[in-house]
Amino acid sequence: MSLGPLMDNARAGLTAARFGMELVGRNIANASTPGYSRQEVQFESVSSGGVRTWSVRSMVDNFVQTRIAQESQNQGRLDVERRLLSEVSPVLGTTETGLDAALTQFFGALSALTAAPDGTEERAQFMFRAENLVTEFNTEASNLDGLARQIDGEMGVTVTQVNKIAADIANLNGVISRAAGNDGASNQIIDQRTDLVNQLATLVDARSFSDGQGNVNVFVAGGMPLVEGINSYQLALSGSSGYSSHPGVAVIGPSGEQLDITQRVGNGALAGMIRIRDDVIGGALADIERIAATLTLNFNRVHAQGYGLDGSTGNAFFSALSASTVNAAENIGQPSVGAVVSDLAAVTLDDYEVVFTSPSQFDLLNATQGTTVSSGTAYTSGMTLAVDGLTLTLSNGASAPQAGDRVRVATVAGHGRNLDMVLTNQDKVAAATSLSTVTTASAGAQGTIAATVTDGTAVTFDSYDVTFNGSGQYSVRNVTTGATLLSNVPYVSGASFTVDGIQVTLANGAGSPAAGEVYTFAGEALPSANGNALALSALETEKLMDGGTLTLAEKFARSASQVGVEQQSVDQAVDAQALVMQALDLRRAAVSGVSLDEEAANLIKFQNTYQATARLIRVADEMLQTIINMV
Amino acid sequence: MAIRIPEFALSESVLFNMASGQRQVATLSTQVASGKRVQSPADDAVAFAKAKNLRGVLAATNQYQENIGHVEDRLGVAETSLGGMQDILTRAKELGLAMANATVSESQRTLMATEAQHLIDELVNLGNTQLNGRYIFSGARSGTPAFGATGSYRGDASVQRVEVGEGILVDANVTGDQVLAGAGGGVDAFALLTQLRDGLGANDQAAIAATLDPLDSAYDQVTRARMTAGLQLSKLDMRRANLEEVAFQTERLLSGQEDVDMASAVSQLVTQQNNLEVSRSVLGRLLAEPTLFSYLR
Repeated sequence: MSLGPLMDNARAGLTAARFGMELVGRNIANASTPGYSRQEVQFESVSSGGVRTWSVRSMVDNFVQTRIAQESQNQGRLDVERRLLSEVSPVLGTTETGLDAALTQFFGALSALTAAPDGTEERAQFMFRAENLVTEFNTEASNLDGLARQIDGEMGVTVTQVNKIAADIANLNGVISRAAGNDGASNQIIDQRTDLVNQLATLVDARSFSDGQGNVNVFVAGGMPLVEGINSYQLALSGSSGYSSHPGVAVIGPSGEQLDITQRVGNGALAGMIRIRDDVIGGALADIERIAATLTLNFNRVHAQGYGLDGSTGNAFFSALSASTVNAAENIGQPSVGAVVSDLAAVTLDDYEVVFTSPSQFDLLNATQGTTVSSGTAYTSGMTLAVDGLTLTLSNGASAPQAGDRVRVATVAGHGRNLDMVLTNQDKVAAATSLSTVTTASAGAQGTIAATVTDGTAVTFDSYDVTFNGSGQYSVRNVTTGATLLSNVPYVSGASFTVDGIQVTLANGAGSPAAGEVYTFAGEALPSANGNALALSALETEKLMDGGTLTLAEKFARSASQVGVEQQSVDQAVDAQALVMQALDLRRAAVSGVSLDEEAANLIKFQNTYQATARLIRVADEMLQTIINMV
Repeated sequence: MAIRIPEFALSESVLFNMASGQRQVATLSTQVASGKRVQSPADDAVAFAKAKNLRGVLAATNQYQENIGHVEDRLGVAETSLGGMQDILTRAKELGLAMANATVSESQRTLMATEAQHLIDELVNLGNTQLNGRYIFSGARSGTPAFGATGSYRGDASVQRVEVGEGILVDANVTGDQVLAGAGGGVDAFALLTQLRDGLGANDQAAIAATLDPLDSAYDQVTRARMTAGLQLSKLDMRRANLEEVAFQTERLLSGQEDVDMASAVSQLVTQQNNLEVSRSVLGRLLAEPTLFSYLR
């Protein structure tokens, strides 16, 4: 037996021990690296009696890794939902502020006005509260809209991140399949890829599958490929869908076609953003728009019936409702539908939808009630159509309508943000339900005069007089303008005439009116009449919302608390999710984590092996020397 | 094989629990500092909605109380004026009684015509009583004096109704035509006083005597109006007491919904802080704990 193999085996032992120590070094260095899996060297003995490094094993529990990737989706979604919701609720105010508080103050000032309808202070205060209310509507609506736009932006950033990570995963797939064997370096790259897959899962509902050839394939939105081997596809923000003014998410296919997946993204941050934007913020905004529109419709109706301090009537208080139309993003043809409010009394605040069943026929649906207003109506460009106080004009827009084209008609959309006060003169706030008249007769007049208002909208507030001539005739003159309205009308006691909405009755008093007698009359506002103010004030407690079940303020409180319910449940889910992640991290660490004690023990073990093997070489060397010295 | 627990995982798990403890301390100390358990809808959505509705009730209650104040001011002034009117009518009755007596000389009667005119003027003045620039006896025509110099009524018959509770409306004014001008089948006090004055001026004993009984009716008419106003005022007092009770109860309910239970919040806070303290010392020890490396020489 020669000493050669002994030296060889000893050398192999030295290499193995040194390699073992190198791994210990690598593990210790990465003890706090996230996603790093502890590596373990596996030796095997060779037939010559030596040792060789058989493989470097990454200590990974694949079951736990899969669970982490899945739970990362929830984690990503919940984190985003919690952050976004915490931005939504401050917009809706505290228990002491918000739209309902502004409404309460507005109606409070109105109630004060009913107690003092001619009070300058009370009117000024009411106008101030009304402006506040309008501002509150505008601010809340535009803040919610701003938040939704901000989420649009965040979705863009997230999509970019998804694309970057998908490309990185595809790239690592290539590196890993090219790497020859299971050395430590490719284990670290696999760890890196696993970490990327987890990161991707926090952003979108990414599910990954190993293809058995070292590649990891990633699918999103329930089956759309994102990474296939060394290829990756891209996500993009697509144009809006339906009547939404916000972008959706699409996958860009191999030939550049976009496939909308907005409704199919089931998890991850992206799904959270879409849900908060469309359901929570969209819902709260729609509620505010509807409250604003309901207030406007009812308040203006009642207000227009009353009379201001200056006697004016028929005035709107808030900016008028306007109808708007939106073509669905998917429309093939481009029909143009115009809508105007033609009869305010009949307006319902429902949303309507014109659906073309063919290029020549359409159905009209009430989208709010879910009913069909008319179906199979023949279409000709330029036709008009009346529905619940709205007049719709249907025509060919950029192109003629095609089957399946849809157009929505709404009176509520945008009303919260655009709400305004059109009444700016506080004297025009219509507290009174009627006008009065004032009459006089010249000294010693024999007849009597009585006047009543028969048409308040025609009253001018000019003063008029009636003069008698010697032949039992009278003439009526507008003193303010100097115009003669009636001349030389034969007098009959008890008969009446009407000018500018005022009916005047002349009759015999002590005697019949004589030549030269002058009677005057004029329309007059009633400063302390408050009937209309009471009717307006009653709107505060009237259940105008949700099919007659909630007042305006209650509806807002309900809407704000729904966001709160949402936020509470997400908060709880985030806490529960953190526990799940924590437990999974612990389980992962139990297998993959680096234990310093263990590494120290390994270090000593390898050091001892190294020292022993070195000793072996020295002994072999000494033996060789002995033999050499024998010569 | 026993489950491996690497050192870093152990300290991570302590840190995780400390983070949730710190969040609770933050929440509790905000609650203790503000005294409010519910401020945003996320704190407690149901309590939030209830608190909002209760605040609405509270605001309306306060407004009703202010409205009551308005009405009380007006009715109070009206009552005082009506008292003055009673005095004038009493004085007129005395004057009429004295002057209807056959022993009174003509010169005395004609002299007293001035006094009667003075009473008319005074009654017109009282009928035109103003509050904050409003003529309180003019009905809705509060910008116009209720009575002309001769006592002709220039107001209207409208009674202003003011909300002093949800759906509860009270009359806020007394119209001059009911009180003095004989509307609704009453007596025209001014016509009577004018008759008295003219009777005195003309030394017409019979005419003077004819005013005496109607003057009693006029007095009763004013007295009725005054009693109605007084009754209204005491009703408003009760209403106010009722609203104060409602406000008090609402405040109590509101406090139940949104205020923090100090005793329990503070004790929770202290418990949490203690837990954190313990966790800190555990973490300190964990981090300082030697590994096998510490024993390698």
